[in-house]
Amino acid sequence: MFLTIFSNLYQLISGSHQSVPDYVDEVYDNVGVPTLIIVAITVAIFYLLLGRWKPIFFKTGHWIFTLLLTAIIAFAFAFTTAFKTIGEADSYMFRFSLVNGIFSSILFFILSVILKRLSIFAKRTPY
Amino acid sequence: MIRNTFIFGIGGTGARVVRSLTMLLAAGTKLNNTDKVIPVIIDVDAKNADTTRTLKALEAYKAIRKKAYIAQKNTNGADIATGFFNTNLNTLSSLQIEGAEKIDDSFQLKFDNLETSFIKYIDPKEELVNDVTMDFLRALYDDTPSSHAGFENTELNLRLDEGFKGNPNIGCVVFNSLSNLKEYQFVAKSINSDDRIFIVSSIFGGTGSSGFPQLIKLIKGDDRLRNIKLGALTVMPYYKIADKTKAGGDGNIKSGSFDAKTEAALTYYSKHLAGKLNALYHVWDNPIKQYDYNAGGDAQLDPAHLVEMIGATAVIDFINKPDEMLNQNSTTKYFDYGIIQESASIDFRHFYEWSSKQIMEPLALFSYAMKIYLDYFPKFKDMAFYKDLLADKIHSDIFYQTLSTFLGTHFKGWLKELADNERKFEPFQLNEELNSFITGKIIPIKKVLGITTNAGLSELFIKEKLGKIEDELKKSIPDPEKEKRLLQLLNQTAQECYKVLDSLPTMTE
Repeated sequence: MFLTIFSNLYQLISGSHQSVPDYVDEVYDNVGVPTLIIVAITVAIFYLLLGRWKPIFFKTGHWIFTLLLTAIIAFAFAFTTAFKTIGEADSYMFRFSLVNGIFSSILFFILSVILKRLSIFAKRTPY
Repeated sequence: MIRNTFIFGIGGTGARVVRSLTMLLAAGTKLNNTDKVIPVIIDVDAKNADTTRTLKALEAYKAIRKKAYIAQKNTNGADIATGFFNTNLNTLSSLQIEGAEKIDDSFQLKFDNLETSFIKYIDPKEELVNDVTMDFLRALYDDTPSSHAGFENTELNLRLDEGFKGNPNIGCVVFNSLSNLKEYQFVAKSINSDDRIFIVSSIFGGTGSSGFPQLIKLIKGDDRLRNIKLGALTVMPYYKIADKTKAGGDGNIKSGSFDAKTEAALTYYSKHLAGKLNALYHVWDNPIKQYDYNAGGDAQLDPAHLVEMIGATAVIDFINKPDEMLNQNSTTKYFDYGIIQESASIDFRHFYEWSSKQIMEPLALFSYAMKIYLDYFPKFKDMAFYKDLLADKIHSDIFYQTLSTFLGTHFKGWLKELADNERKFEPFQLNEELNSFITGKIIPIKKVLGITTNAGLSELFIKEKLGKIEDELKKSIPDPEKEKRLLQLLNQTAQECYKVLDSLPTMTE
């Protein structure tokens, strides 16, 4: 099921790469699921771990930093996974990695809205 | 048995003691078996700044409590008075009395017809009758006219709405009309047999020293009031007044006469009041501080003094005394107050156990709350609790403005005045961080290998407690009652600070 969701999502935004079927067969799924988990863990660390432990990392600036860090990790993860599977980099790989970074940011925001109410110090972050 | 206590604060000193009482009750000093405490300020000097300030503090207290205090129940469903503002300090009009004339919602008892001179007050139609002639009055009172250089000594031409200027002989005449005031009649009608009355006055001025015996006479002459538990605080000289520098009709008060007046009044009390009171408290100090000459009006704004705060503890002690301790008929119990060690500067270490536990501990808690509200909250504007509770309201909502005024002007101002007066009462270092806030006890910062393992009452500690406590409170106190949540937040955070402090400093530390 994830394979279908991620294939459709990535192909919708970054277009399909007909000449390299590995993306559909392997990469989309191998990147999509871990990205989802990475974002969920990062948001949980921000809101449920740090956000409930001590008021040290809860401001909007901290949230933006975490979001950008997550996006960079998602970009890097997508790029290295695709590169390991396919063996050579091309413009599609960059586009796909960038889309994964943006996708992780959107996911980060959505999960933030859901989880912030469970936080103590970050329940008004980002708004 | 739940009862009300009526506190009559007579004159400038009475008002100042009630001011201190207001601060101690705001701090959460506990009163046993008490429903309402009704302060009644009696001062003929309508513009007296001391009185005005006390009235403002009382009104702010009442407004804050009404909006933010949560009455907690015990397992039997009975109210437990605990925390800041737990005492229901209220006006006479808050009592529901059938058939009584409606009175103003005020803490002040107002005399009528005092906007005149003493001679016009006693003889408004200028028709002296029988044996009372002008010569007779001149024999009793000074009648220097306003055009004369010695006008400052005048008694017959003294304006009454400016106070009695240290003339109890005039005051007692005016206080004879006390029973005609509707506020006094309201007290007489509203009082129940279990209620108590406490009177606060000075013995060395004009208003207090004349009003006190008159009020006792009235109470003891009233069938309904005769057997009420009656206590009083007589404040003896504790400051001096500078010599008068300007000529004029604003009296001629001299602190050199305070001792003679005190002696005369004490002699009178011992002859005529002994046995009429259940408890009589005395408090005084060696006068060190010399105040500027201000014979009343809006210029009389004397700074708070330790003696007034100790006087306020007398009120608390009287209210908390069980009935059986006050039941001896025709016997007055006398109480003095002492501190552990003589010193020019007093702090928590100087008080015995009762005061330390009952008075000073709540005072420390409320002072922590004040410090956090005034000094720390402005730095925490990005915190979730601040955004939830204060961000939209602190500068616009009347409740938050009242709370800010009470903490910043009334309470902190009172603490500052106590610390600047002589003798000093300086239990707090108001400008220091919380770790050094309590005089005589610094909270140590613990380090291991140069790394801080316990920073005591650091900013991070306060932030953490505020956030976590507010998060818990949100579950039980809904958003429409944010004022209650804020007061509870301050209460509980102050308690967390006190836990870190562990105990108040003592002489042995």
